[in-house]
Amino acid sequence: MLFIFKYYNFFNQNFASIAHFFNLNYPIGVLNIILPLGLSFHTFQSLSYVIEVYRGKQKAERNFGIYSLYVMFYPQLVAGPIERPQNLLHQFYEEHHFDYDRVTDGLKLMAWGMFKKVVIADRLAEVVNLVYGTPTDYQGIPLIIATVFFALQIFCDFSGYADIAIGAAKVMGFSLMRNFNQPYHARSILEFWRRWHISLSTWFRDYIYIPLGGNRVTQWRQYFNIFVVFLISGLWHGANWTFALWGALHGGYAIISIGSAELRDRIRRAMGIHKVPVLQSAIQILMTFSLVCVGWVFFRAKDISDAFYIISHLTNGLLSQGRDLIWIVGSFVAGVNGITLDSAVSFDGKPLTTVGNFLISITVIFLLETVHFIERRTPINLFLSNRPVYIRWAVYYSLILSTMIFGVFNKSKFIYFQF
Amino acid sequence: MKKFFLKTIFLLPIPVLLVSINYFIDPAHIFSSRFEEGIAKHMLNGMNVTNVYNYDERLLQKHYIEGLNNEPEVVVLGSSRIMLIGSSFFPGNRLVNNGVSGGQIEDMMAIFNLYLKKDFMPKKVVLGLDPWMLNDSNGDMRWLSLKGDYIDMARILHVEVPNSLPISEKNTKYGELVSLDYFQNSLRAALKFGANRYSPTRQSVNDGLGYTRLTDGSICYDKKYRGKTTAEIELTVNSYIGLKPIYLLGGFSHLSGREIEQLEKFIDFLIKERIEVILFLAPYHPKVYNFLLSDAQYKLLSGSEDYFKALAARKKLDIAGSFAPDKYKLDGSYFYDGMHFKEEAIPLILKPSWD
Repeated sequence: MLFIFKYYNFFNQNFASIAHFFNLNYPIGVLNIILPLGLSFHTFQSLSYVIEVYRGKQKAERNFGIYSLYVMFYPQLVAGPIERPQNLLHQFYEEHHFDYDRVTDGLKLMAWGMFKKVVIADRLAEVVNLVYGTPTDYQGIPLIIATVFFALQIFCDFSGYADIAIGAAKVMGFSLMRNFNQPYHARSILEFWRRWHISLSTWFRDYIYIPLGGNRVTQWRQYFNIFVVFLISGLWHGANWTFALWGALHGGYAIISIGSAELRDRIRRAMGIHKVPVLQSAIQILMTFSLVCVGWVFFRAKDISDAFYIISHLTNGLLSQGRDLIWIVGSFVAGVNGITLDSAVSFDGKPLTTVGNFLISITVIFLLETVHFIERRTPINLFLSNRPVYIRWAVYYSLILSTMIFGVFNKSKFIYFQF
Repeated sequence: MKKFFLKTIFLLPIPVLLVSINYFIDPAHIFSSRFEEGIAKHMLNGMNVTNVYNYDERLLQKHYIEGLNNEPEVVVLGSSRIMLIGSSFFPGNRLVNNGVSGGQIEDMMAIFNLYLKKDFMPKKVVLGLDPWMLNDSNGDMRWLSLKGDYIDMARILHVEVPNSLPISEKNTKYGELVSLDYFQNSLRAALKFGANRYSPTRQSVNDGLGYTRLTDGSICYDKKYRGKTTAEIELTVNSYIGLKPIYLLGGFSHLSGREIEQLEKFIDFLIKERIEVILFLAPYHPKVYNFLLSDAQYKLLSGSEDYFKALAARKKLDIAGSFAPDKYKLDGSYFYDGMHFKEEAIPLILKPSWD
């Protein structure tokens, strides 16, 4: 079903191109069908049920209504998390009562998810859409800003949806699995995938990687297994070669990461970096984030030629553009040169955004990282509940009002709804 | 449960704040109906009106035409893309520009009905035609502000009126009370305290917010908009291109048979009344035009231009302009943004057929 709806036209188009190249007649036409909402998600959730029942780890569900609810549980229907039957099915049989703490926790999580989506993701999207719409108009800093913004946009968009879904389920008394764990704080690509879209990563691990032999095989076979899993993961995200390349790139990263572990360790020791753990972590996080950003270029670009253009022009003109940026921001802060919030932030004479929008974007990113910093020590809910009531309520009010004031409404859908 | 509901009372100020700000600041004047009437009165008294923005342009046309004492000789109908065409381009003629933002064929019909109700019959009508007027998926329903006049004109033209026309947009205004988008606009208006009032003026170029409505109904952009640097114009052009879909051109899969029927019957009516009809196609900014041409979903941009030209030939009408800016050698410097040309472009476009 997934193949027909999602991949038929993609493969058909490619076969048609090959036939055209060899001057062959190719009579098979395209299918004009509407893609069902959240198809990739509920197909995988259904598969998970079938496999678990087949493996004897889950009793077959006899109640069709409960099974349908499992597949179509609406909070996570369109963008996950992709649940397992062992975690979700039994919850439909439990009695649920109103629980003050659970309901308020769920609502807070939903509010935070909404903030991430409409204030951060949709605001950053304005710059991302502009640059990735016509990337050949830009080089250097605008391409870097747009790519970093996209990394944060997709995280806030997707994890924001996950927070809303998990929060909504929690309000109703259901517990869904965590789907993100500060992925951009990962210190390696493999750790990144343990923190990003956890429900999908574990799905691929349990149902494809391990059945292929996992890591209990020869080194080369393990590399092959890893590569295949990442390639399929890329295609799961969309029927386009850019997604396949994105998956293959991450597969390559993972293989190199495993293969070079010892060498990297020797370099660290030789340079003495291991003696300063904070510096070592910072370098690892920065390296991982940079590699992930390169991957996002393929994920977001319209086509492969755009992606290669962006990658090959990331470092062009950085010096003069850096001066431009410092001049604009400096002039605004100092209140000189007529730079106001409405002035354009331009590079090489090409405007990127307004000073106001740029400053709001930087501020919300800083806020996001502050919350992540707190969460590294204490869950934010616990952190807040230990504060006096007036601080708690000030935070709730600030969150809701800033969503209302700085949110971008009526502009974009959740990115992951398309998968 | 009791504790939960008690605590939610502490959040009550938020919806109260939302509704109050939307209602009392009301930047688009949808909760007070006298705003447009006030602007029209000043215009009819021979004054330009500045600081006009966020209001119902259709209602302004209604009040303005209803208050006109003299029959205009030239009437300009269309969208914001023809709003700069003023009396100076038709010297010696009494001109009224009735352009409204996002103008549709329904708007043209409804506004012309306002003239008919006054027994006014101009000598010339300039129809500013845009590609979206033939796109029945453009989703713009602002013309419903003049729904009654549209229905009257449709009956005169023997155009079938759908049974289930939505209620006037004005009647859905209470939804704006809880709209977060409207809330943000209200705050923006409140921050520019004092600027949210229109004011009569003798000058045409003003320093306020929004544009200035001139006595003849045409407009003049404010100083800031007129003084945009090349980089700022390019930023607005890029943002325009970044819109998904491009303004009113979403879902443009075919030339609407219904809109074509309405337009042709309207033109036939004008010809029958011995009114000279001139078609005007406003060019797009070169970058926007090239973008639209390159994107398959907007392929009917040229299809609609071909249709308008064929229509002019068939009905033997004057036609000026083109959606393609290069036809008149208009580069980016002739535009304020992605779809609005500057005054300097008008003589270049009008020249071929109207001199």
